[in-house]
Amino acid sequence: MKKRILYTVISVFVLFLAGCEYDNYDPPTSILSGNVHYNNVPVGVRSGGTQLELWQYDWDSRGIIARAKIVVNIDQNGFYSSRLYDGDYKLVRLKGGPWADQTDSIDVKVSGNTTVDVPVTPFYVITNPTFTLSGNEITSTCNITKVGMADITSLTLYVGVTNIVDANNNGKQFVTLRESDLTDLSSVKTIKLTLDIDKLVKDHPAWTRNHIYVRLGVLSNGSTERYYTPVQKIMLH
Amino acid sequence: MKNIVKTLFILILFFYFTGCGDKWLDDPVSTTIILPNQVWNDEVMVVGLLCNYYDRLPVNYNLLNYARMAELDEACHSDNNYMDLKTYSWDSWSLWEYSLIRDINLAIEGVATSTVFTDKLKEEYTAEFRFLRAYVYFEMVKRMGGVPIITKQLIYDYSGDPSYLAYARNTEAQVYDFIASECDEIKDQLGNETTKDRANKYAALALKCRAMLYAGSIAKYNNLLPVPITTPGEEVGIPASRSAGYYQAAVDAAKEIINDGQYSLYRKHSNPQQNFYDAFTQTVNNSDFILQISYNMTKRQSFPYYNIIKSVREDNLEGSKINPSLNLVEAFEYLDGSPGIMKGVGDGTEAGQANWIFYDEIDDIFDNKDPRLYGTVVYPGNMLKGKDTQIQAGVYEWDGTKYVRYESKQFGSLHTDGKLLTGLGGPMRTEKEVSNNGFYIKKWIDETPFSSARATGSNVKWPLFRYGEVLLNAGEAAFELGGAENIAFALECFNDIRDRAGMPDLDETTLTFDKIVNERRIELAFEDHRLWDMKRWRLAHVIWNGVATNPDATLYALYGYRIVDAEHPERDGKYVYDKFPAPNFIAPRFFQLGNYYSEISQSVLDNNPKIVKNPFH
Repeated sequence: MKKRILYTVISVFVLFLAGCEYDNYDPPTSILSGNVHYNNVPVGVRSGGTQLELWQYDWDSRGIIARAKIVVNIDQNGFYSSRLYDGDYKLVRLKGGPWADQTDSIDVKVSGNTTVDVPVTPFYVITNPTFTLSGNEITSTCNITKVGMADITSLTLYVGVTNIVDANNNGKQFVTLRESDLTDLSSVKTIKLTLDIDKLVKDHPAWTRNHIYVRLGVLSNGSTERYYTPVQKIMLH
Repeated sequence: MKNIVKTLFILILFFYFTGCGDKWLDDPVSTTIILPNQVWNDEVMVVGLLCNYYDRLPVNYNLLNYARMAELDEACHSDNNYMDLKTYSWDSWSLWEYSLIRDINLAIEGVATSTVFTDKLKEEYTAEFRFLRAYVYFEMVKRMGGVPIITKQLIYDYSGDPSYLAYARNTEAQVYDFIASECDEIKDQLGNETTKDRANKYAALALKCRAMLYAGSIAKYNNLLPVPITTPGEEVGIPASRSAGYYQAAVDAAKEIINDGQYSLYRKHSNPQQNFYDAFTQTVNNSDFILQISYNMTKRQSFPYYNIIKSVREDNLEGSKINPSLNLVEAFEYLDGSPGIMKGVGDGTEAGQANWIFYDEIDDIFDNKDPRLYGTVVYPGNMLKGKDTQIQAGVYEWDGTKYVRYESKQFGSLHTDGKLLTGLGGPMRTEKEVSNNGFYIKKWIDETPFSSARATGSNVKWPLFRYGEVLLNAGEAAFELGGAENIAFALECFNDIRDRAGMPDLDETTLTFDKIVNERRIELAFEDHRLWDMKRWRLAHVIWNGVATNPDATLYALYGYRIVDAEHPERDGKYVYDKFPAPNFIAPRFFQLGNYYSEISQSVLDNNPKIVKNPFH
């Protein structure tokens, strides 16, 4: 009887040692990251709105290009990152961002942590954004430069209570300059917004009332996405 | 021993002579397997197949799968499932239905081998199969853009190289052209003159009319976008030059239906309100319906069980699922043709009370609305099954300086004055299975006793094509073509619809694109047209742009309250209304450019390297 128990224990132990692991290969460790930029200035976009796609080249060493893409989201500051296996990839600027459609792919070799910046050509860019608060009025100035081939549609100042701000997130208070106010792009554009604190409180009950976040976005008819400036925090007191 | 040998010998001889021949191997009569030649030589079997294929036609929503009615801006869903959509995923509405296409192709080839059917019968069956195939291709092209047109069975030869079975996508225009030519070829071959449950000549013409209108408007409105949605191979996107031809084809197909006079709008009741309600619930020999999904004594549907207003329901469970939004209610114009915006409503705040109009009766706010509203939506004061629906959100009581709001989570609860506080029909802000926006659906919910009880069910039918839509299609296509003759024809079509509805006629100046958009929205509400219409007009991403302040992207509620006011007796007992975003509604509707053509699934791309992806995916 005792022997039997001993054999059972030994055989279970042997099986335990010999059994394969739950995962039989390691997870990817290399991080590919970078900025989507124009002239080395990151391009601000809508959170969750724009994507890059990665295609692993020769992934099974039989010369077959993988037909499933790896989706890479771009964050609102134009930064992207993806955890990958080492290897050769093609990076594609997926149609739909606030920039001219660019069908050429970028060859990327991932080996350890790799940084690859992705150049794009926005239709319009905003430079020198400023935001000043006096009383309840925010005054913002900026320059707009035409880069790509598209007509300008609008320039909008967005206000939010969390640091993710754009047309679809958090942007319940905003002021828009229309096409007619934007005919002459050589001059500094000024946009003013009067904060409705009561409405902010109503829309966001958990808001601390200490600060707000602001951002400018320019829309052209080349895309339904806007080029955004970096989000800026403004203290209310 | 000798005896045994002798006996064995005799036995063997006996079996040798009595055993059956080997012919039985050739002629099996299986009790479990039906062979192809049995199917293609038996009318009952072929009709059985047809039933199966009709049943498998792709659906966005209908009376059995109604939840998507709440996906856009027509309604809210009281279970909230369809209200938390922050965006529509790229594969929303995606469809790649080649298993049905294959089965239909197999049937077409099979019927041709029949040795029993007459040539006429073969032709009729083949035409009906081809109608179903064209219908499936239309369902695919309106969701995916161009898809491979496969008109025969694809059979693998086991050679190890299946690449000859890989077909590239046809262009979007080619698929629409295919649908048109199929309908033209089969329309005079189809039988079924006496039934609305199977396709006849007019169903084929109605399919062609709808498809041609879609193609024409995609050709026109896609190219009006600043950046048209196209692929280099034109798998999506139709050249603008083709729009006029498509519109003309839509007009011609519709004229054939109209001129033959087989169908007409339902006009059996003299009261236009009741008439429009009857037009969808009195569906025995309804002259409006061209092709329908039929329900009868033995096959019932349970749409009323799931959607009837709680205060009138005949079962002890379910009800109140689909709740039409105020957006839809306001789309119904006033009788004088002015926009249907609700008058004299507050916004739920104290300041908003200044806007109130004090109505004598709870339904006075809906006076002079388009009579079709009565047949489409249960609004406060609208009866159903002869019973009061009791839709009242609560009470506003004067406290000396302002009105204070009282609401209850209890159905039929009473206020301190002993009169009704919150009605048996809600609305309520947070509860399930009760409207949270103040309205209930009335279209499709019939007044037959116990049609909303599980054990009984309803036999109201679902139109796949109806004459009213043909008129709207024809009118729109003619309007787009322009020219005095076409405009006159368009006015004829729209005014037939408006006259039946009890609305004033349109003329050359009042017939506009926006009017057409609105007319289709209300006449065809809850008939699965809104999404496809907004897509082909390329309006979806504008109307539903995901911006929180956009009133079109937000679904609104309208709550009615009774006034309790001892200080102002002229106001006491009257009714006021508040309008605000529906309490359960969280994220504004957000339709992105990538939603115009749904995503082709990865498995399809993996299996066929010739398939190109849709834009933005």
